[in-house]
Amino acid sequence: MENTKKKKTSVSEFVIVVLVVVCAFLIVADMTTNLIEELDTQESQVISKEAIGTVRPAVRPTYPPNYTPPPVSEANN
Amino acid sequence: MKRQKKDRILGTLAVLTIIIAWAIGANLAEGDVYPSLYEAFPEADRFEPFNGSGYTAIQSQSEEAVIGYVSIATANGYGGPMKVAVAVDLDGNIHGLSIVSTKETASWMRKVLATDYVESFTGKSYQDPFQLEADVDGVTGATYSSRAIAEAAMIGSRYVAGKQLALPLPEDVSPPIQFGIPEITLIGLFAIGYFGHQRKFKYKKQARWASMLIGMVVLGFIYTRPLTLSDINKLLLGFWPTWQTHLYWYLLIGGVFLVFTVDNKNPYCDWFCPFGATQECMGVIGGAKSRPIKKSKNLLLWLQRGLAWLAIILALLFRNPGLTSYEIFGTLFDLTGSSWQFALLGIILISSLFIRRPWCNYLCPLRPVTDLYRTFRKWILETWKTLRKRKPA
Repeated sequence: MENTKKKKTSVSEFVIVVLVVVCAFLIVADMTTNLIEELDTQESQVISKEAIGTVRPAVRPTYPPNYTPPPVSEANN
Repeated sequence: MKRQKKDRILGTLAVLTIIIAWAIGANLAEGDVYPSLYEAFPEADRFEPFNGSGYTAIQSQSEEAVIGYVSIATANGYGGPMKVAVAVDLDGNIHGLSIVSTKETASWMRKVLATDYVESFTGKSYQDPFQLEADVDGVTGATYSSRAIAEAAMIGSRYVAGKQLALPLPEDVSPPIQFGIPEITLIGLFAIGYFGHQRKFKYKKQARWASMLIGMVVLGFIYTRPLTLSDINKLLLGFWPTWQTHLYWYLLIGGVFLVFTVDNKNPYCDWFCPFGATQECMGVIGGAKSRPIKKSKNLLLWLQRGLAWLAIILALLFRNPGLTSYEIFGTLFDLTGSSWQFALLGIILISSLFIRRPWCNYLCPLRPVTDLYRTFRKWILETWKTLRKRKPA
């Protein structure tokens, strides 16, 4: 009687361990997917910047006639 | 005693590694904003920075001309700060928006980006109120993200209007306090928990079930606002949102930690965690029992703690609270999540028919957090008592 009870307990323990390990695998897989997605997003931003080629020699722009430049003190903030 | 020592050593190591991860994450460079500038103002040929967080949009055809400005504005979403590039024309109207960086859960952001919500800001004036349900129609199921975009649009357009266009700004009105059914329910659940924990209280079992069912229905299925690791990460990262619009977050985090500190009791997990309640309901249907674990007790305990530690470390390194938050609460209550999460949810729901609260006992990342908090609380109290005893009278 006691042996059967012990056996039942160890079987249920084994089942729980297997279930938890499977779930842990799913959690790690989900985390890895999210990380890869995050790294891809960061990388694509760098690539698109390079493709666009934003840095050009600075030329003084012509402002429209109705444009009011900000006061110097504010612009320096 | 030996286990207590082990817990304290490993707990200290966990805290140290968390601090190191935080420091590394804080020093990592942020992504570039230029692609977002071009997305917000595609007609511009180049941008010149002004005042640190703004850019002048310049068109170079026969000769160069300023066609507007782009400001990088930050507002708090659900997962943390969201940076938005706000393009403004020379009359102070929004020309376009582009999300520079976000800490929101990917599935919620996808929900927002699948609609024309971001585009709906085009043409809005800097003088508009930018309030959800007033002049902005938010995206259902992504209220916090919608509100953050609207707030960033307002901040960005007014920054340009005031600093670069010298236009008169409308009076700054603080956002209205969000106090509704979720906040009232939360306060009510804390109150039930407080009375339920009193020794003389006769109806403890009934009060606990009432609390669990209310939590499951209101905080789970209706509003999807359970406590998650993402909330703890936000706390650690210092992404504390505006209290007026995120009062619920302050009540939940503040309430849980206050009760823990003062009373050393967990007011949340056993009493009104919506996912815990769902598992218990499943358990009633299937006749679930608490299954004793003997040989593998340590393996399961440290696996649970290890997963939580890994999730926190990665979130701090990437400075993204929701990045590694692996709870399946949203998967059940909001039906959003990855295929991994749906598979996990299926296993947990079926298991909870036979095992009492399998998620809470073996996988929930909040349990290791509360264990660590308890370990340090006890340690500090013991040290304090020892120091007081040593003091000469």
